[in-house]
Amino acid sequence: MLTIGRHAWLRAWAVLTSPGDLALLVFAAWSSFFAWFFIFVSGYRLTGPMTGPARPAFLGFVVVTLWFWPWAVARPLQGRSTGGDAPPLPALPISWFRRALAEAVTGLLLVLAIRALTVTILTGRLFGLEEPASWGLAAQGGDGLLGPLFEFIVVSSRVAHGAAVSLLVLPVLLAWSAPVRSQGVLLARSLLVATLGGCLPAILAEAPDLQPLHVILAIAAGTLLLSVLATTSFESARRRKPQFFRSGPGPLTRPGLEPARRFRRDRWEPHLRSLRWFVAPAFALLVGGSLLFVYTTRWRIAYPLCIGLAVGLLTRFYAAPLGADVFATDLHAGSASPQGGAYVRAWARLPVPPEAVVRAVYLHGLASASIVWLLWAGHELVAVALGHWRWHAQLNLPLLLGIPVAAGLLLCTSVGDHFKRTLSALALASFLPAHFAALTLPSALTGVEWSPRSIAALDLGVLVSLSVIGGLPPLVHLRGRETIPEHQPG
Amino acid sequence: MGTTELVRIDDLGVRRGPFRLEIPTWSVEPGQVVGVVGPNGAGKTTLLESVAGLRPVGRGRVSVFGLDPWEEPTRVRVALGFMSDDMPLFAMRIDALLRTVSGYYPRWDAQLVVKLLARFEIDPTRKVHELSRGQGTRLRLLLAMAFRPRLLVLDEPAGGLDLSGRRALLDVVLDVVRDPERSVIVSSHQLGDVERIADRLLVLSRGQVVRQGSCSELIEDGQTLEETLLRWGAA
Repeated sequence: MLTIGRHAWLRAWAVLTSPGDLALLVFAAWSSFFAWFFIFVSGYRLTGPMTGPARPAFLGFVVVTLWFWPWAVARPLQGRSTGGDAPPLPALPISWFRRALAEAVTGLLLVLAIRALTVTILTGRLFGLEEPASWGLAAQGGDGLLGPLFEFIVVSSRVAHGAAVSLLVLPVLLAWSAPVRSQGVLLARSLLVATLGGCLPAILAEAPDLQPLHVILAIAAGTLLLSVLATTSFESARRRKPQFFRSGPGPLTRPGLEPARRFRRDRWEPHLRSLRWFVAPAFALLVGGSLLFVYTTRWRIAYPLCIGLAVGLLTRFYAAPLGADVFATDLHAGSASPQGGAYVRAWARLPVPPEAVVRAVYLHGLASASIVWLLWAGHELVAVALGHWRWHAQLNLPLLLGIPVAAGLLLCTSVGDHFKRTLSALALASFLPAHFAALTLPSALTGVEWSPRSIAALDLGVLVSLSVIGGLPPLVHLRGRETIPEHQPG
Repeated sequence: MGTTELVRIDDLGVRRGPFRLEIPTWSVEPGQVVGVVGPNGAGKTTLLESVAGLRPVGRGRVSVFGLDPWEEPTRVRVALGFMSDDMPLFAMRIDALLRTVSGYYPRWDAQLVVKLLARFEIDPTRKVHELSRGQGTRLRLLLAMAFRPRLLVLDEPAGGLDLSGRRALLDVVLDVVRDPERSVIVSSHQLGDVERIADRLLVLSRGQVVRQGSCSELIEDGQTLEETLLRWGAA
């Protein structure tokens, strides 16, 4: 217990003294005001007033929010030991389970503390109200979702809700923290756990008789088992078998070309490979999930699962050729941090101009984000053509503005610019919530029906601002030659 | 001074945060093995990165093969092999990695690669991320040498190598300089190894040149390089 406490303190201190990590944790705490609400308010009650196409659109938003929320808590906790041969923390005198537990508890406690602090400041300092009075204020705001939401935010700043949410979030954090040798296994395991967690509101929406706590317990047990099973020892046993199937050495050389010409050819090759391995299966999942949702009642639950897996594949596609995935890496960076410019450093040994590498990364970001958007839009066009989800076109078109932000995030990751990377990541993560809020909040907050044109103008303003904040600063890296990023320990 | 110099440095000044490296003049001739030694934080890596064109210089001039390595990185790197222990590698099978990298070098020597794979005991069917630290170092060394560079720049090449690995490294370096047109610059804390292979030394401390010259001039008879550096306060 003492060991767990000591490690938790060390991790907390590390997060609190790192501005980027702290910002991400504050973002996680604030976004939890929405995410937790969806967990505790039964999906049936949540979507009950909604009918027709709005319901799946809203559920989709909820799933995405729940899916990303645990990532935002887990990312600042850098204690995971994955990839390479020099994981920094396993050398500590603490078992992996205790370490992972300490990190998960630290993350959740910090989130709870930031939540409580935020609510106290909002109610006490800004509104000058005691808490019961602020409930009244919430009730006044109260059409549709906002009344219960405000009420929930005030009540849930207490630890009791945090303890219950921990049951759902803990497995995701453990899946992130548990040791694993292969980045691919880490990604697959974490995606699966997060996807299962993201299914929760859909389960509750489709099965109103179920109690949220029962569903939370069932999902927590399943995902916890998955996290524990897919650890290094399990993986080592699995790894020994493929030796038998390993093929002999392939050709060791290919024709040497003038380096710039070779690079121009090589940079498009991963795209073509990725189309086959990631984009085509993702498209099949999206279309299959939509058809199941539209044409069946029994298998609707498969929809969020398909969406989760497709999002995982598309994320991998977005970052695959770069080798600096937001979650994992395809680089053997040794003790270097994958986010610390390792990609540009890996190219630096070759006779390729660094500015060409950086430009290629940006172009890949633009192209892959555009393909992801087109794919998503295509799957929804299918649904609209079948007479469902007309809302989705309204939701998706403005998300085009997120493409330069996604490209900027990739660019900053490749050159190891932590500040601009955090800025782009926050802007990108805010896109969907801000978009949804701009569409729904104005009328709900003011009690006046806004004209569609006014709402569209507000929405566009918010999204253009996010696009500028997240997409413009990274462009400084395209201006010219830069020093190769320093070696940054992981 | 002449056109045969592979590296020429004049009045070099490089800043790296609060650290400043100053080298008034330094050159490397073909056929030489030059050892760069000094304590941690002396500026060895900064110097080697400047020579390899990974870092711009603030003042003065660095010339490699008569070219500015920062302004013309492609032309310099097709003939300059740079190896550093902390350079990340792409995580793929080793044969695929070699195939990928070979496409960038018109002078890639496939026979030498096969020879070095055997010498360094590297199995090309393994994946890069399955290698130990020492095996990773050997692979990085192989990649730096496989296109027969005119200038081989090695930054701490012995990190993680066992005794047989270090012996293989030294043999390979000596093989390189059998060709009188090629040179090696090696920075290392393994002073015994440096003493064994280097013709010339550049001794740095806190960003300043302490001594430079041939080994026979700098190391007195009966003394080791380690004892000499201790005497100069540059160990």
